[in-house]
Amino acid sequence: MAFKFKLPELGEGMAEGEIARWLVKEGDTVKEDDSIVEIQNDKSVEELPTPVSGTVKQIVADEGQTVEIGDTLIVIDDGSADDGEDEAPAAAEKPAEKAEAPKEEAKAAPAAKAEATGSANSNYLAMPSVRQYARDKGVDLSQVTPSGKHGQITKTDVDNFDGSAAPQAATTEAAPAAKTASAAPIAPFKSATPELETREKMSLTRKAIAKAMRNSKDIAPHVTSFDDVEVSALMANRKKYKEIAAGKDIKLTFLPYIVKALVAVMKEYPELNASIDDTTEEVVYKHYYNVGIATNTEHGLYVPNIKNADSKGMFQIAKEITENSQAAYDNKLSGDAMSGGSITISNVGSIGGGWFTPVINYPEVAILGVGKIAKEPYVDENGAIQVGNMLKLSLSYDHRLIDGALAQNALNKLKELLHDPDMLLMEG
Amino acid sequence: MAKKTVVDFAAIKKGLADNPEPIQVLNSKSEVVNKEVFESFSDDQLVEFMEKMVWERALHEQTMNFSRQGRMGFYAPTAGEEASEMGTVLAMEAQDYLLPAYRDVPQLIQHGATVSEAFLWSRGHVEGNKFKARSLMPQIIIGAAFVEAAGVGLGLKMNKEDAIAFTYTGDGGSSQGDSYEGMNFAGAYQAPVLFIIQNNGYAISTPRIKQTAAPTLAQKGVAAGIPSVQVDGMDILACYAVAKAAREYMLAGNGPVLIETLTYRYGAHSSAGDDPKRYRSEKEEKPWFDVDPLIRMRKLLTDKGLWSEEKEEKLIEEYKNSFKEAIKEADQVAPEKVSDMLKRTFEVPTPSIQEQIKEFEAKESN
Repeated sequence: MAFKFKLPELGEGMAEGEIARWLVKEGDTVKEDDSIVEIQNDKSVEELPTPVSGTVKQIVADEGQTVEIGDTLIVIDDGSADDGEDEAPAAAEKPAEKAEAPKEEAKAAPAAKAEATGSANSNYLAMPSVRQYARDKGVDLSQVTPSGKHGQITKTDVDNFDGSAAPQAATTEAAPAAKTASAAPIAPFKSATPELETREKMSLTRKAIAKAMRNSKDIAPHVTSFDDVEVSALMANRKKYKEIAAGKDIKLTFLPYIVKALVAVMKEYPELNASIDDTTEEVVYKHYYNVGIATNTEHGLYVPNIKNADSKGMFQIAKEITENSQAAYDNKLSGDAMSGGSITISNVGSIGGGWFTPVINYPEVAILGVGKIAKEPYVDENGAIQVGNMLKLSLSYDHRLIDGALAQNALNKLKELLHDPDMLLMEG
Repeated sequence: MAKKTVVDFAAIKKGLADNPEPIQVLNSKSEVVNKEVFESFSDDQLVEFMEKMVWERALHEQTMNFSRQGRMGFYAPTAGEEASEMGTVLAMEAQDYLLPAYRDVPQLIQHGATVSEAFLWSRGHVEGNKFKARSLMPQIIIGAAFVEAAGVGLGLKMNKEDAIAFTYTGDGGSSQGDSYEGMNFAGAYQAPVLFIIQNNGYAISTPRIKQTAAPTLAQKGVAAGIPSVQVDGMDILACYAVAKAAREYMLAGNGPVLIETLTYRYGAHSSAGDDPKRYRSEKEEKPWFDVDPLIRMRKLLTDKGLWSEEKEEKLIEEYKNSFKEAIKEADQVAPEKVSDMLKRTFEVPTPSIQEQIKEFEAKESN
């Protein structure tokens, strides 16, 4: 008879995972403890070994599919006695049971609430600190929709609660009307023509990106300053050293120059290399220069950073940019490579484009958007119109810490360094 | 200097860092650095040390697999700590009393529990606590085993038993108030307790260096009046020899001893999902992998003609099969019910517990 292998709980608080890759196919023979599947769990990938030997009868969950703890992933014919449909070692059932319990509670809490619409109801789950927070804000917790584990109401739920809306029970059918409240409630996407649409689950990486972007925009008030700089000298310099770099198996792009220039700018304007600690209302100035490069891959956006760029030469930086982006493509970036950043570069120039408004890689406070270099008329130092090679720069910054004048001064400095790469020798 | 100061605090602070080198018998290059101690071991003993470490490594690997198959409950990985754990427990006798923490399950098995009992313990099953070994079940509260050990040690002394209590905690546990209280009590009453701090570098994600300003963890015993030493925790010969000497010293009525073993946790803190890549670098890990306790013993024994790759592979296979048998045995035990746990909580259940028992029995029956 067949053994059903179900997704075990691979970490505390883990509710689901994504099938990253099957290492076996139907009909394959597997031996106990052979790795059979890779499960993507937030940003790490775990290989799961099979608990039984036998033949793969059916792969139940497809690659890319999100599965919950306790869901059957694969059916393996292990030749064991037929004990009925749900035959499995006793312990293998345990995680499934564990996952059941919270669900019941989650269901129970909102139901109890609906019964008591309008009246005070203490039958909800919230931590004492959240209850205090709600009292201080004058929010009635019995009206708040919980999003936490086990149906717990979180502080964010209280923040997102819109007091002007009617109680939950009455809003189930109401269309989300335009509201003045700052945080948008989570509303379903509805349309008149669902047959002309298809739906796909967001991957875990996509969800992580969405969360990070929203978080950055929620917390940091963004301002973007646009500017451009004439870079003929920079192009000539790169052209000259590109061959030498190639001889060392190094791909020299414009990025290392920009990394170097940004380091010099951050040294002069340390506010750009800082973070805000909201819990203590302190500005944290960083004495390291880790410059992130946003890297677009088919499985998501990653920002590995060049560690201690201030102590590295141009070739070394170029080499590390290539290595980091390769690791991103291969899904092999460590958390280490992506944490502790100073500032980020978002480069769309290789594809095209000019100015745009990049989103800060929070908790950093600035991000530089780099467009393509375009031939455009340009008035030179002598007042003559020339054909210039113009590089478009967009600097987004967190206005809580960085004011417009500071940002423009920093941009001016950056332009100076990119316009005359010899200056990089002096200051880079 | 213009004025003579009454005390030189800077010099005192500097003096705190002036400690003897950790005790070592076999260094990481498999060179014998303490000939006298080394020659006290027979060939059979040396082979046994290696076999026990291979056993513990195999237990770790198989348990990780069981964990990823959803067949385990809580598990604290032990890879890297074999010399520290096996070396110390092998120096003990069956009448000695073990007070383990949750990373000390291999020692508990070595001291008399069965592997299937250990697996049941991991699943939180009450049957996992019914082992015959002279030991309490592994303590989950960090550092609390040190307090229990002081009491057990005092009991052994009062009963005039020819036995000691031995207990383990980690570097994180040594930062807890409990660990000092336990040591102080044992010191005050001269109870025969061997306190072992397995310094594996991390309290979950907090590095040892950020936990305390003390230059060594061994010196935490000094304030309690306990002779305290640092031992190379990757050298099973040193761990065994020091634990053995401590046991003899304590049996002569000399009160407690503290051993700090310097070791390293190769993987995550627990199977509950912490990712070590988020708090330490590969650059830091590498040198520790190079001083692995199995590597140095393997080389020593191979050079002596007492060990071979085939022998090791055969042993691993045997051990892993025995673990697979053990988990089957554990699977035979019916899963615990919540109502059973509630019934055990009080001899006479309180009204609110009775209510809960009823509620869960109703759920469990369908």
